[in-house]
Amino acid sequence: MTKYETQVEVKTESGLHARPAGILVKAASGFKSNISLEKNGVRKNAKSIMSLMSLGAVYGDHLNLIIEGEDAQSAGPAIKSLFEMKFEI
Amino acid sequence: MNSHFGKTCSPGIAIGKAVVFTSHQIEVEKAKGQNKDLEVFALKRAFESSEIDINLLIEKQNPGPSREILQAHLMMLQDPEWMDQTLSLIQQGMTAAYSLQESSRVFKSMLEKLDDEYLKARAHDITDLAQRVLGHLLGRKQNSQLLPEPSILVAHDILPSEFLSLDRKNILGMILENASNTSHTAILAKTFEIPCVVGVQNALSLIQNNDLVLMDALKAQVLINPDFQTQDQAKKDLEKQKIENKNLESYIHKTSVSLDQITFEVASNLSCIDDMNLALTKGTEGCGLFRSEFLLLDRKSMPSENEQFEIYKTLVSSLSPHKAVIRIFDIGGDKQLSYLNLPKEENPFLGLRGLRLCLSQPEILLKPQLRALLRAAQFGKLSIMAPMVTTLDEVLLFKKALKDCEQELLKQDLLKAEVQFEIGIMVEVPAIALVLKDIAAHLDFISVGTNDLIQYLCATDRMNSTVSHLHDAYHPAVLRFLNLISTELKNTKVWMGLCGELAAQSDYVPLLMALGFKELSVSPGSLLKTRAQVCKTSVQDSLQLLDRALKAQNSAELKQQLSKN
Repeated sequence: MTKYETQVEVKTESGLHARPAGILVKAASGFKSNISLEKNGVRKNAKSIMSLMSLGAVYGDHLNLIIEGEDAQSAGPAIKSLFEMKFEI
Repeated sequence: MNSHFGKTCSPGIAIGKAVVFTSHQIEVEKAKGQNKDLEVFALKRAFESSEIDINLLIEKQNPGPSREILQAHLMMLQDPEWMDQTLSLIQQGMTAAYSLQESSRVFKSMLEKLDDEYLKARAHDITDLAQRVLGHLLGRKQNSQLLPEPSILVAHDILPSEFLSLDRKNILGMILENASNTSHTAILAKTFEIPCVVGVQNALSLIQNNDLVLMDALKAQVLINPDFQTQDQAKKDLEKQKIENKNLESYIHKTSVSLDQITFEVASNLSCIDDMNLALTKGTEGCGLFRSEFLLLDRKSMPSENEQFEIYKTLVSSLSPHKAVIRIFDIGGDKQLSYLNLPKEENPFLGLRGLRLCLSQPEILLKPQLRALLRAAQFGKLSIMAPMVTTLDEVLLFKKALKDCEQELLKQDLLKAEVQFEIGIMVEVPAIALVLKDIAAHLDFISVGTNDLIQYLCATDRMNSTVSHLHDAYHPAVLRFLNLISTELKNTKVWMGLCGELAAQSDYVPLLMALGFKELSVSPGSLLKTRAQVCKTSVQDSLQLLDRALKAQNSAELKQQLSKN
C-alpha cells in the first residue's frame, strides 16, 4: 500500500466538463488504487463522474491529486499527465 | 389570435397541432424495504435494464451530439459513488426506489449549487436517469407519450432521453417555457434543425392540446389558433422553406460573391462555442457578432480574465482566416446579474447598459475583458466592438481603455509585441449614426444592430404585443436611415457590417449590398439563405432598386417593390 500525492492544474478552458471528466474517470477506473481529487478541502472520488463534476473545478484551479493503493506509483504519473495534456489524448 | 414571444433556440417555421407534454415524474414515498437482499437485487437489475435501454438508443443515433449525450448518460449510470450511496440507504432499511430517489437528489443538489451553467444543466441529466431506473424498479413503462402524428411539442422542459425516444419525424417544432439555450435538449433541437423557441412564459397555460400553433422560431414568435389567412400563408412559407433548404446545401462551400464579382462576407451571430461549431458546418465566413454577455449569465461571479481568454482564443483561432467580431458585454437594465448589483431602472432600454455600464465600472466590467481580448488577438483576426455607443467621447474613452490595457500587457510580457486588431462600434442608438462622419477617423468598422436600431428609431418595444406591429423593418424610415449611415461613411475607410435579422430577409439583402454593407451577419440557421441571395444579386442592378426603394412611402409599397425585383 503506497501513497502518491501531487498538485495538478486544470488547463482545459471549460474546467472539468463532461469530456475531460469522462476521460479522467475512464483512466482512473483502470487502476486498483483509490484515486481522489481535492479542491478547497473537499475531496471527491475520481472514479465517479458525478462526484468529479460536483467538484466544480474551473480553468486555472490547482487540485490535490491523492492516490492510495497498490498501483499508486504507476497511476500517479498517468493521471498527472492527463491534466498536463489538457485531456487531449 | 394570440401572439407570444420567447427566445430563438433553433430557427424555422412550423405549423401544427399542439401536444402539451407534461412530464409524469415518478415520486416515491419514504418506505421501509421488506428484505435488504431483494432490494439490492432489484436495484442492480433496474440499473442493468437502464443500461440496455441506453445502449439500444445509442445504436439508433448517428455519430454526433445525440450519441455523445447518451454515452455521458451511460457513464453516469455506471457511477460507483451513486451506486454506493444508494446501497447504503438500502442497508439502512429503505426501499430501493426511495434510496435511489434520495441519492440522486444529493448529486443533483451538488451540481445545482455550482456556478457553471453547463454543469448545472447536468442535474437535468441525473433526473432523466433516475426516472429511467425508477421506471424499471417499479415496473412502469418509460414516459412514452408518443407522437402518433406530426405535432408541435409544448413543454416546460423536455429531458434529453424523452426527446430522443420520440419519433423525430413527428416533431415539427418545440416550444419550451424553460429559457436555457444550453440544455442538452436545446443543443439537440439545433443539431436536428427542429424549430425551437425557448423561454415562452406560461406556454403550458396558454396552449392546450390540439390548439393549432404557428411558430416562427427565427422571430421567436408563437401564434395560437391563428386565422385561416395567416395559416394559409404560413403553410405556403413552410413549403417554400423546405424546398429552399434542400437547394441551399450547395452553398455551404461557396464564397459570397455577387453576380458582378463583388466579394461579401456572410458571417454568423453567435452566443457560445456550440453555436460556432454549428456555424462552421454551414461554412460561415467568420462571426459578425459574438454576444460575449452570454458568458456572464447563470453564474455566481464574473468569469476571470483567463477563463475569458481561453474562450476568445478558441473563437478567434477556429474562425481564422475569417474574422471574429466580438462585442463587449452588452448588459444592464433588463439583463440582471445577481453578482453585479445593478440598480433597477424605470426604462432599462434607455438606461445604463452596454458601453455606458462598462465605462462606469471599468475595473470589473471593462478591463479584464479587454485584456482577455487583446491576448486572444494574437491567434487570428479579431475585431472588438462596443455596444450602445452614443457619443464621440465614449468612443475615445473606449479606445483609451484599450490602449492602456495593451500597454499593461506589454509591460507584463503577456503580449510580445503590439497586436493587430480592429476597433468598431454597434450602430443602434440613432444619435451616433448622425455623427458618424466625425467619428470615422477613430474606427475601423461599424456594425448596425437592426433589432435595437428599429426599436429606438420607431420608439417601439417589440415584446409589447400592442405595439409590436410598429417594429417594422420595412418602415421606409429604416431604409432611409441605413442610407444615411452609408452616406456618412462614404469616402472613409470604415467598413460596414449589419448584424440583425434584417440580413436574413432575402428580399432586403440586395438593398443592403447596394448600400455598401460588406459583411452580413445572421444566425447560423439563416446563413445559407443569405449567401444564396448575395450570389444571385448584382450590385449594379441593385443600385437602381435602391433608388426606387428610397422613395417608397410605406412598408407595403417597399415590400411590393422588393417582391417585383
